[in-house]
Amino acid sequence: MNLSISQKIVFGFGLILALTASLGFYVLSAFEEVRTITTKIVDQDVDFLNHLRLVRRSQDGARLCYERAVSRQLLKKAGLSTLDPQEMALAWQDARQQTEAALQRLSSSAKATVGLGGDHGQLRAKIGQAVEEMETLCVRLVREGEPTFPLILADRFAELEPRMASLDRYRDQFDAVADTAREQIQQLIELGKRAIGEAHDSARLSIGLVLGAILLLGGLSGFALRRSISGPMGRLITLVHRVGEGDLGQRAEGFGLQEFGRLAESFNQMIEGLRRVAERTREATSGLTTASNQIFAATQQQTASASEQSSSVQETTTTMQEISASGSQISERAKHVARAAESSSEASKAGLRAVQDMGAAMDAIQKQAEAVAQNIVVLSERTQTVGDIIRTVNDISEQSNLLALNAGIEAAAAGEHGRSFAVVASEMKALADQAKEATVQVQSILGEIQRGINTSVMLTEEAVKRVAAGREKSEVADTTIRSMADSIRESVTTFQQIVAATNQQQIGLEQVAQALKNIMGATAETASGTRQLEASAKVLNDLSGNLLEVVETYRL
Amino acid sequence: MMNDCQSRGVLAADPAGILRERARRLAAWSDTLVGDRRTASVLVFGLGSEDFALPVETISEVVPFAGCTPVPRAPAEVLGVINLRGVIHPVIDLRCLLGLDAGPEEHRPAHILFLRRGRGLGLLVGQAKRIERVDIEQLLRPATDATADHHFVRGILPGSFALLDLDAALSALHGSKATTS
Repeated sequence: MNLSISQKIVFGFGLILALTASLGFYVLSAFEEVRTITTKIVDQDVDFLNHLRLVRRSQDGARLCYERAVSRQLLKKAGLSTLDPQEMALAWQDARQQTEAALQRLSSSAKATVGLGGDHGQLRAKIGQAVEEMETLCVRLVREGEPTFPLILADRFAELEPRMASLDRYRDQFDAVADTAREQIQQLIELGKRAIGEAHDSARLSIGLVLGAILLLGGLSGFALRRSISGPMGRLITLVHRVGEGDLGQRAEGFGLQEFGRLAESFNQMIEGLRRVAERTREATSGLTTASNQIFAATQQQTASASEQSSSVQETTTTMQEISASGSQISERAKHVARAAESSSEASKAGLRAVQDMGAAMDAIQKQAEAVAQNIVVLSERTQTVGDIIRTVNDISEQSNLLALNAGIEAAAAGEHGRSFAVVASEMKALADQAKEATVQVQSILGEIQRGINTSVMLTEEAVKRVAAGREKSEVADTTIRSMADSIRESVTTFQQIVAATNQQQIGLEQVAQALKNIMGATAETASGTRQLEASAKVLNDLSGNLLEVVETYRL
Repeated sequence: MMNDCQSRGVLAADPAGILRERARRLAAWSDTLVGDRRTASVLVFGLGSEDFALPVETISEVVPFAGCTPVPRAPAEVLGVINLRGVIHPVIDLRCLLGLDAGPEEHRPAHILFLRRGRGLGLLVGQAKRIERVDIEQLLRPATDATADHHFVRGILPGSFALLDLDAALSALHGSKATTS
């Protein structure tokens, strides 16, 4: 029988479900039967019993009213009570009517009941007869009792006595019949109970039988199902156990084409996949070992570099503090320089005034030098005039010389007579020579004067030129000092900016110091993290070694 | 020259110094006057780079040279003619006649010496300087077999001047005139 597991399971469960359903239906029918019997007992017999009780109670009430009416009449007559006996007559009427109504209901109940057959039916018939008898007795009681009330109210107790005796007789008969009926009803109830028990027993027996059959069938089908599943499953479990122990050379075969066949196929695929996974894992584990070793080495390097970084950051912090100190020094010096530049600005103003005074003085010097030049020119002209005069004197002395020579010649021509004249001529010659020498001397002196004048003229011109140059230079100095003052003012501004910038730099440096502190903290954290990483790398290395051992357990 | 040196300091000295100098010179002059007759008066003049002298008796007058009118076809020594107080006088360049080189004193004013004899011949010389009395005996005679220049020199006063032989010089002029004409 080549059925799939699902088909087998569906078949087995279907069978069990069908049996269970039939059992349920049977149990329901048995319950229905028991319920019917119970309903009969409860609805009919108990109802009947209750009606009987009501009849007895209302009968007792009527009797109580009758006795109260008698006793009240007696008490009234004796003058001990003022209670009205008439009320009790009226109450007796009510109780009589209640009794009749209860008897009516009891009768209808007795007629409506259905017998269960057998003893039950006979008992019910007897109960019906008793009820009829009770009705008859009730009618008699009413007929006997009702006419006695006027006698009671009229205090005719003497006439009443015989009637009360018959009344008591009827009452005893009624009670006896009621007791009989009650006992019969009790028997009826006992019979009903017995019928219920019988129905219950039969239902229990049949249910037990059917349950046993169902259990047997279910067990059989379960056993069959178990056998059809657990056999291949056990083989597969054995295979899986071997694979789990690392033997990847196993193959599952001979499991048919159904679920176990497909499972075996998947199992073979799984083994194949496991084999590949094991191979790759082995390769990967060796790679992982290498990598974890590298990570370990790198982590150690990182630890070293983290400590280096920490020391570098320490150095940088020190440098930053030095820079900060030098920055504050720069700021102080820039403030000093700014103050010095301000004083330089004042000095440059003074220098500017001095240069302007110097320019005025230069102007005065230039005017004076020009006056001196004019004077020198005039002097030079005078000297020229003197030179002309000297030349004239020179000519005159020349002519005097010639005149003296000619006189000497004439004296010589005169012979002895001209001898004294020759002396005079010689004297004239001497005077002319002296005059000439004097003119020569004057001329040389004039030449020196002229040279001196020329030198003076040149010097004066030079002085004028130099004054002009000095004026230009003073203007240049003026411009220079002005530009210097401007640049000093700019320098003041610049130094104030430098001071401000240095303050900002200080703030920035403090921020940098804070950042460096953070970096220090981060570096410390990095170092601790790196140590943790190193430990983790060690653990990873161990793990990779373990993994390699684990992978080695797989036999390909 | 000593006189020049002393007279140069005249202006710087006091008038008493001037008078003393003058007295000394007059005394020196009187010494020459009372000397013997071998002395002679000569006119010293510059010519070229040297000084020459002529006897005073041969010269009639000294005038400054202010240019002259050139004469056509005249010898090289003859500069031209000059008008002196209405009389025309020929002028001869003595330096050229004597064959002397130009001296450093050429730029100085030149004088013309007019001779007494002849027709008042004018000699262009450098500067007429002075009249001096010289001792004839003291003059050195030049050697007979001397050069042509010395032919015109009658005697030399060492360190001072050469006394020209005017006749010889003029004969050279005439000789050259004859050769040229």
